[in-house]
Amino acid sequence: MNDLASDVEAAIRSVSDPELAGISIGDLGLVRSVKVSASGSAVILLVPTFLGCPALQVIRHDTERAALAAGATEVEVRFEYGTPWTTDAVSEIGRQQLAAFGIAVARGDQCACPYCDSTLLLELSPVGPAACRSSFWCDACRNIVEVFRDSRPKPILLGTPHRKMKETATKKDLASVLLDTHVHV
Amino acid sequence: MTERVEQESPLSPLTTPCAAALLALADDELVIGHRHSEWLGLSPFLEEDLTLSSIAQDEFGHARALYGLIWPDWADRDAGVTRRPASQWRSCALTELAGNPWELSLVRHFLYDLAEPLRWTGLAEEFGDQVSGLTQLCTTVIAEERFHARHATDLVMRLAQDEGGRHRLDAQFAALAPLVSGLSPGMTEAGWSAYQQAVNRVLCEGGLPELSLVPCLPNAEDRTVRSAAFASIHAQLVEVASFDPTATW
Repeated sequence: MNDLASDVEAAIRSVSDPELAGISIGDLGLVRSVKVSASGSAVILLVPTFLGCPALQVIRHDTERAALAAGATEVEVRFEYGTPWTTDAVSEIGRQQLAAFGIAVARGDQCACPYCDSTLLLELSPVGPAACRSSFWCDACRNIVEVFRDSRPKPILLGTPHRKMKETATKKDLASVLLDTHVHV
Repeated sequence: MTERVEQESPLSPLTTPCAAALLALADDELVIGHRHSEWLGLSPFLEEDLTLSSIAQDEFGHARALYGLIWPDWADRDAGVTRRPASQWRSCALTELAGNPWELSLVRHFLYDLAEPLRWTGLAEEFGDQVSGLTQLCTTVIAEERFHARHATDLVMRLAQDEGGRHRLDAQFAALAPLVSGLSPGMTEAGWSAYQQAVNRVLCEGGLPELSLVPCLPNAEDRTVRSAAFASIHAQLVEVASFDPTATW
């Protein structure tokens, strides 16, 4: 990678997410690819956390500006949909920054409270203050906790208190069964 | 994308079968999102307020992504919503219907969202090779839609446990069933069959009467008639942009 390409990519990855001040779109895993031609023309592929994210236009605009400021001669920003974003794409730094923001990110079926590190999290609502976040209750420190969510079927968190675990594990998820049976692309 | 689609002006009616089908689904998504969003702050309990507004947001996102396939320029996409004459919209009557009382919105949400993944799948199979990005978009939409169908099904099942709730649901299912035939673009015969089975399995499980849904697979190009309920939605969609038609955002 030449200097210009690495400068442009670094600039793009450091663009701040408009809804999570100080956390970059690179650390959130929103940057899929950056290609910079010899003439300085940049094509950037981003992925939205959810298609309905209201910040997409702002992210696109800020990404364009960052690439131009880093020396790109022209910039095309596209959103890519083929492989949905998942929380696996959040970097270690991103996880730490989100925790400081009061937002937890699950690792597989484990998730820790960002305030006390307990795993005794009880789900209050599958969606919280934004489509990309669920609301949980920490049974240890008694705080409301936001947990980043993606569009995958939700795992049962290992540390979930027993009463919720039992209810969730036995609940009939009829729609999922029906849709998984009939819908294939 | 077909050549015809690319040549169309942003605000002119799109007439190729492919473009008409994309526009019909996009308009359905936007209008039902709009109707869901009318419950913001008014839903019967807080969790539902949060959830329905997030589902509305998802539907807006799906509409925006589809409009993006029709009108690649973002400004055209906005104009396609805020400056398009009512006569050029292609939403169906089920989505346009005013959403009060709440059980009407819930039953509509259920009927619409059990059909939606099947419609996206049908569209991707029929037009995926003509429209760059449609198949990929379909993958993401279906992943997001799992939550919508589960949410609607869970609430229908919960309300059906109570006799009063069952009566209220039953009345809405009977009233809305005839409008389901409008969920046509993207729906194949196989999809229709799967849809009926999916709907009736939930109703049966909840102790509700099964629905006899009339299969109707009309051409999306025929969607030229708006229901009376659409006028109020359209007035809201164009209201802000009409204050200053020259404004840029």
